[in-house]
Amino acid sequence: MHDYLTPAIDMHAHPPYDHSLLEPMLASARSAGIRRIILNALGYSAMIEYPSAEEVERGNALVCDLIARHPGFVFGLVYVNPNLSETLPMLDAGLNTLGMLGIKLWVSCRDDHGRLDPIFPVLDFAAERDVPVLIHAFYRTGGNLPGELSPSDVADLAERFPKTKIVMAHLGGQWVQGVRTIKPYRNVWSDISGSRAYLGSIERAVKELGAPRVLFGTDAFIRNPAAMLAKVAGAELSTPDKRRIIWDNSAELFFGGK
Amino acid sequence: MIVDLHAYLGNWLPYQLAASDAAGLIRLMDRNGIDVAFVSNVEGLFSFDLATANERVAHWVAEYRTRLLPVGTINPALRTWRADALDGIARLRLAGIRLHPAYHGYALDSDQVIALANLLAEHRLPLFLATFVDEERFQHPAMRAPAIPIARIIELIRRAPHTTIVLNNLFPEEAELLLLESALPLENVAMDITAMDKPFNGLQRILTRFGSAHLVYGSQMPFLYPEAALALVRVNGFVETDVQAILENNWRKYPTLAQLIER
Repeated sequence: MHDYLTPAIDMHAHPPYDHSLLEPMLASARSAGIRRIILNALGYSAMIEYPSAEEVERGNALVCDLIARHPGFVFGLVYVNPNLSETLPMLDAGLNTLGMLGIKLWVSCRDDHGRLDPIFPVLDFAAERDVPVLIHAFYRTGGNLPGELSPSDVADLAERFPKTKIVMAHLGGQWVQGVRTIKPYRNVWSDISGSRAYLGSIERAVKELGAPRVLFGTDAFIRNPAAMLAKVAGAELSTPDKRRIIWDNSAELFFGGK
Repeated sequence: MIVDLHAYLGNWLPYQLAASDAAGLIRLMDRNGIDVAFVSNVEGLFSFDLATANERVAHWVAEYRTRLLPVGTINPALRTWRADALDGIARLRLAGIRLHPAYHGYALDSDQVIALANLLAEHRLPLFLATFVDEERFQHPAMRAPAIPIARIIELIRRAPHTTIVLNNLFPEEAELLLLESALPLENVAMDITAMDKPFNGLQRILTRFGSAHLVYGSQMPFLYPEAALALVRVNGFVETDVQAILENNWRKYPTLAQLIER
């Protein structure tokens, strides 16, 4: 791999549910040149669309434990199911934990009626605390999951919550449309994590959003970190733009520029 | 010598591929040290006129014939499949046939598929099988293609033991099922690593349990960055013999592939 690919910040990774793979996954990230990894646990025992409070708390506790065991390397986002009444206290406690740098929302974003109301207080809370919110969002063929947002939803939220810093995950799934959808909203970034290593996707994201709004993430354990980092290696971009994506942008957004 | 067993040319309707002509493919290969690629025409996925699709890919690569080997696309469910295959082999000098059963809608263990596999064995040409091209969750709504059941692939391998079969886009768990299947004749079966980046340790698990014997390099360029599959092999701390085997040596173990690449 090229020298410029390290150090890297992986701002979107998950601890594996087979906990015997926790350390191997972190080792895999290190070997790829990742020097800071920001984990979010989508529950403790499995990927549950609407997890219980216990699942959420145990998952977040696992991330906190990894932060403590790998100081300076592992960081975290507080994951919540906004449909739970415990959400705001969980966020408050979670963000007071050393190394927890923001909030993660996955596919529990809508209520029983399909409304987005449960996540509004979360986005207000994030603005008050000035922490970013990483939101999974897909344009998914055949229809999204019941509580899953699309890039179009992210755009609507960005307009409604202009003071909240939102990171749309995965280039929005179908990346050609995903990045175009959020282009007008300066309070929205996108990460490049997950999916396949689509040729041209990174260049397209930079063309639409500008390099400062594109963040490197892997979606490990689901994907291999080295293969995900190779997307940036293969992109026809300047080295300074690649460094922005790999390190600078996440350093600024999550670590105050450090 | 790095050989890419999984490449395409042509127009992809859902979006403009970043490199869809032969010169673009060569550029991707040069920047990654890839010497040779087996290339088929992606337009064949949605065409009833596969004779023309194959003619086009042979024409596109003509200028780069030592580096881009044309692979035909055949739909065995069409009445004309045999004529198209024979014409492609004799006149266009195709370096194999790639099947897309998910897009063409036939069963992999049908008599026609087996007949095609046997025909290719007679002509010492490989059969490429693309288990998928684009992820189901991001397919164009008018171009949906379901995943192929692994049982069908197993049946094809059983019924065509003398055909060199290159499996494109097999996931690690699917590869493990094949490698665990009892008495499956895998001597002539190669599996590319294109889709083995999921999960993070998928490729490592195969190497640990089964070794690198059946693994070959494939990138699915120009859909994907060829750097991704290269990094998957090179940057995960695998032993050098496995790295070399996957990237440079294993294709030599398949005489059908070697005689095409070295001729």
